[in-house]
Amino acid sequence: MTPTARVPRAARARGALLIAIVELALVLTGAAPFAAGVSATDPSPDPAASVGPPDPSPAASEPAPVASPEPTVEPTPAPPPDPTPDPTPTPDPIPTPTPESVPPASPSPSPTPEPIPTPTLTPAPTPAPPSAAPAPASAAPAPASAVPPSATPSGGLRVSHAWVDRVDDAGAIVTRGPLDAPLLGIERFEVYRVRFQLVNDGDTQRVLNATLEWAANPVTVWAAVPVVDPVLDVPFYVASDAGRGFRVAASPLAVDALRLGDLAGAGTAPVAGVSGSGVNPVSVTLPPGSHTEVEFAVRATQSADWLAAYTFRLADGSGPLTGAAAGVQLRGRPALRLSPGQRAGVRVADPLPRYPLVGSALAGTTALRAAPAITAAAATFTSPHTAYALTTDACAACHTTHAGRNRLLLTAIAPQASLCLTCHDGSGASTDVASAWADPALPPNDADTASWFSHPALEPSGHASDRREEFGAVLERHAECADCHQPHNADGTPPIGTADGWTASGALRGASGVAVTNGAANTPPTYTWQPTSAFEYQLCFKCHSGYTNLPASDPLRPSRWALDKAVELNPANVSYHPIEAPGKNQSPAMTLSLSGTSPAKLWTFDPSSTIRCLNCHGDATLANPAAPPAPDARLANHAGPNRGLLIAPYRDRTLKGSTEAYAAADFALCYTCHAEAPMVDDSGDPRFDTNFSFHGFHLNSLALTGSGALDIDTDGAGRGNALCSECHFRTHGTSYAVDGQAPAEGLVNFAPIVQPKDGTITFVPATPTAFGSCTLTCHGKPHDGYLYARAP
Amino acid sequence: MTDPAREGLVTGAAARSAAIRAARGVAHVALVTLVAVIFLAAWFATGATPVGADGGPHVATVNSGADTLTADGCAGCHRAHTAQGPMLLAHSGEGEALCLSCHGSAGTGATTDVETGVQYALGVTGIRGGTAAGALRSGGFVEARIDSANPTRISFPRIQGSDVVTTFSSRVGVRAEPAPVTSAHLALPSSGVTETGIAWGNGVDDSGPGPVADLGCASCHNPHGNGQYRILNPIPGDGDGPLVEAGSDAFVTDAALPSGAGAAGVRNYTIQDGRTLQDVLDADLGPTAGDYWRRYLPWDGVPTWNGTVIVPASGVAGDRPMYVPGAATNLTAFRSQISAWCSACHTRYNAPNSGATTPSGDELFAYRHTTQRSECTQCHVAHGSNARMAGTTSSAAPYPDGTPSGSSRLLKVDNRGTCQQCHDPTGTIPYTGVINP
Repeated sequence: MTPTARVPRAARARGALLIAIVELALVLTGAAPFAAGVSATDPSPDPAASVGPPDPSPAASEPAPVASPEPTVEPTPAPPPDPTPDPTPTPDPIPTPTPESVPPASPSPSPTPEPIPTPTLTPAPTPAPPSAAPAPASAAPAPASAVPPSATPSGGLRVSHAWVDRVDDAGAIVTRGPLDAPLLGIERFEVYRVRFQLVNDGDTQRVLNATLEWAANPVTVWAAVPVVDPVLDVPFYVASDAGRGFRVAASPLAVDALRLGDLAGAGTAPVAGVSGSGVNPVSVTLPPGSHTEVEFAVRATQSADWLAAYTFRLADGSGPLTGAAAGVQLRGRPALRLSPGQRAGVRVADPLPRYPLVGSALAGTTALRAAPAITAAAATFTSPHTAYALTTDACAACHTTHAGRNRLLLTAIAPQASLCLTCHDGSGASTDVASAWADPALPPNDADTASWFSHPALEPSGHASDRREEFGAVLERHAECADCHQPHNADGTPPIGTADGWTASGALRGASGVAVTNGAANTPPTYTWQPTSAFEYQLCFKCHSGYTNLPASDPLRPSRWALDKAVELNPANVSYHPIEAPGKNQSPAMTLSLSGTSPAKLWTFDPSSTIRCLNCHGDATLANPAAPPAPDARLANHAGPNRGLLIAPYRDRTLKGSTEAYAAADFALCYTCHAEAPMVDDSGDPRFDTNFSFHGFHLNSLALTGSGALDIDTDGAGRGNALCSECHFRTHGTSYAVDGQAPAEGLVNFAPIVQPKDGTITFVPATPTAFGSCTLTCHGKPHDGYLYARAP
Repeated sequence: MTDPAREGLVTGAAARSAAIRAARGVAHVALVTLVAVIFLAAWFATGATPVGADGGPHVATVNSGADTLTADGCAGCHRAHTAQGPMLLAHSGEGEALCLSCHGSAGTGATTDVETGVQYALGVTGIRGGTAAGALRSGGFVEARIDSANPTRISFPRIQGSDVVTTFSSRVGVRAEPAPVTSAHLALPSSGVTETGIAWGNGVDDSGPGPVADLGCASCHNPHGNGQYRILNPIPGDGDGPLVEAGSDAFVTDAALPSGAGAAGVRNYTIQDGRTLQDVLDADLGPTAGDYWRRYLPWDGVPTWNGTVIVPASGVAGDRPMYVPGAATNLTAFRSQISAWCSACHTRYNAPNSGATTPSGDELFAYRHTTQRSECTQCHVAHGSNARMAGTTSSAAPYPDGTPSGSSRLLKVDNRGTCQQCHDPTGTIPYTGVINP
């Protein structure tokens, strides 16, 4: 707290009243506290161009003509200048409203604390043409208001208009600011849009690196407005929170979002502009004969003085742009809200000099020391996610003790992602997860069709703490960041494949999960909440098993059901994908299938392997067969283009048309592990790399077979080449085979399109010594015990 | 004062009057000298301390005349006719200069030096002696001695109900050398500390971060004494300033005033154990002893479980932290009282145990650390801290209004090590469970 003597209320009230009187006097004498325009190149005010303060020159004895290109926002004309010029220079037209600067005033019968003066708007002057000669210097500085010519000719490029818009909490513009006149009464800490109309009526295209600069009035020094975060003693910064949420971006301004037409009168054509949030400068291109608008989201900081006026202008690499400038003036200091009974006091003199300090006897010091300044630059950044020392710096990265914006004292509002993504957006952390959700090509989730393309981490939820059991037997699935990541334990340790499944990676370290104790095939296991997940799949089971209440199933569309993955992946099942234990198919053919090649090959497992959930439901951007990721790589499945957050495309719901050819891309997911060769061999001959020799036949040679629908959930559908999912409908395991089918080896379970033959749907797997057979009807084709052979 | 008669500007009657006054003055000086000689003789004869701190000007709970008028307390601060400040104060203004004349680093009128954060033994010829007894619990306004860079974590047994369980706590000791403060409740010019002046959280919900308040010593302390802990004002405030003062009293119960002679009659303000200054001096552990954290631990040892009992026994549950006045059983009441008192200004910081998970309704101070389970003074010192906030985030941690600052916020540990003194965010501190069946 400041040790200065307090200013009693009466003195403050008198000071505030005096400020109002001074303000009024300034208005009456024409000394407007703010000037709309400002010189782009000459920091000295230009009295010839100013219509605010009195000007002793005869030429200025009449008001300057009002330039009002938009009558609806025409500012109030200023009163005529005082014919008696004030010989006293007025360096700052806006008196600093500190009580100390205010001389004693006569007592007021009803002192009003801290009135907020309303300065008279200065009419926007006509912008000076670029060729106009500089105004003569004056001994009496005055606030700049017109736009003198630039010292660096811009070749047809100029700022034709400027203004400042008010926005609401969501970032939408609620009030357009007056053209070429300051926006008065702005608040600290609120975001405004400073906007400029740029005109290029020259013959060449202009590409600008438009930098927003600020200056306090009267203008002496210009500086670029900092970005993203406030800087001490700088009254503004270009905010990244133009609306709710924080996002650094230079977004396009569509032509139809431009406020102004071709007000320059040069017959220019509108082109798209740029809206900068947390960005300064922004790049903008103006073809010859065009105009556009550029805006910045600007927030006033605590360093913006009450009632102070500021000016913004645009500059590029070669200097400031000619033309209009924007301006703001802060509101007056908020009125004090005194408690009842408080009395007006009397200002006392400053204290006498302090009692001289000497060193303490305790340590034998001889002089007291002021604390040296601490600068962040001297600090070394370390991850905030693990290994906390007893003097750790990390807590403050995410938490604030008394002013939390979200549960657990987080510094950002819900959901947690709004905090996590401030670093994990490529700016502060090694991992950029924000881009997964930010991809404009990301399809939206659709609960009606059970089409999921992203974990809903950006949506607020009932999540409170990852240490709390929030999923058991409730229909409350959610996926905030800490549901999967324990931020205090996470590190970069890769997972390890074991016979019991893959361990949780460092990214998941410490996150809670659900362990299962499996029983008989196709039966629910015993679920046990785990404060920390030992295995990766245990984390997934929090939401994707019967431990929680899964969404209701559409009885007509089995392909959309949310099934208990713990039941499906039970190693006691007849067949399953090897998440919790190696698979049951230990045949040589499986070995060859897993070691074979394909256009989408990513992984090379063997029958003894277990696999991760993320090997199939992983980051699709990493699915590059030319540079496949390691199986233990970071495969975060936050969001992606493939339904089910699959790492590669998989066509499983819409059947092939009558003449639609086989395409490996339809089954890229399968081919990340399995060889393609048996799938394109339509001979039906036994092969060593598959136990079913008719894979290729079904995928390639069923054109014009049948005339059914194209929906895999429709009985009897199918008219062309088959999909994998027609015979491997449930791919995690065989537990939930439809229509009462008996579970079969090789993940064989038929889709609803497959009909019984004489009341029977049967698949008998071949052995090295015995034929296998199919009894069913598919695509209208009866299979009456069709036999097939298997390689020995 | 200039003698008017010598200036030749007075009448004969006036000159006579002045001469009478001068004669009376001589007589008055002689009388005062006589009384003083008698008093000093009696004082030295009895070994009494001259105007002992807690027997000084700050103890008048009732203006009965029994103490105040005979303790020479008024003249310590007031002048009837030569006052330089309002309220007849001897110094200009009501600021810190007056208080520092006794409690400053060069003052001799009190054992406590609030500028460098030390309590001294009593002197022979003055109240403050040259021997430092220990570091002040509240730190200091210019220098402090909190060993903020070297906290230690200690696991120890603790009685929980009928069980003995292992838990952990922390120690924050005393620096051998004083260090400049990096935050203070009063930004004395000599400290180099700059503060926003904002009384964070003061006021009702959704009233912004808080007003800019201008504090002085008397904002928090009642110099005339009021029987409260640290003579704290039940309604702290900034006089006529913008601070929204509490609507009701926040009393903090103090222990009884020591009644012994000399240091035995002076309170202990250090972080060492003991009720009186004499207790500290008798322990003779030196000025660097003590613990600024001491949540459960006994202040002078780490307890162990010998299979039967906890040794030393002072480590059992309910062991009182160093600043709890009175009996250990006062711990719970003290925590509530001191948090309520701090919240008289920092209104919206006062939070229930659910404060971290339940929104308060205030936009800025939406989720808040509880002030019930851990009182404010557990993490913060009252006057000034030398903790260093040099880390990347701590050096620019935003205030509630979003302004980044490297202020140490009166915390006792560097950076955000304060959190680590109680929390185990990784869940990796070994827990050995219940020791006895």
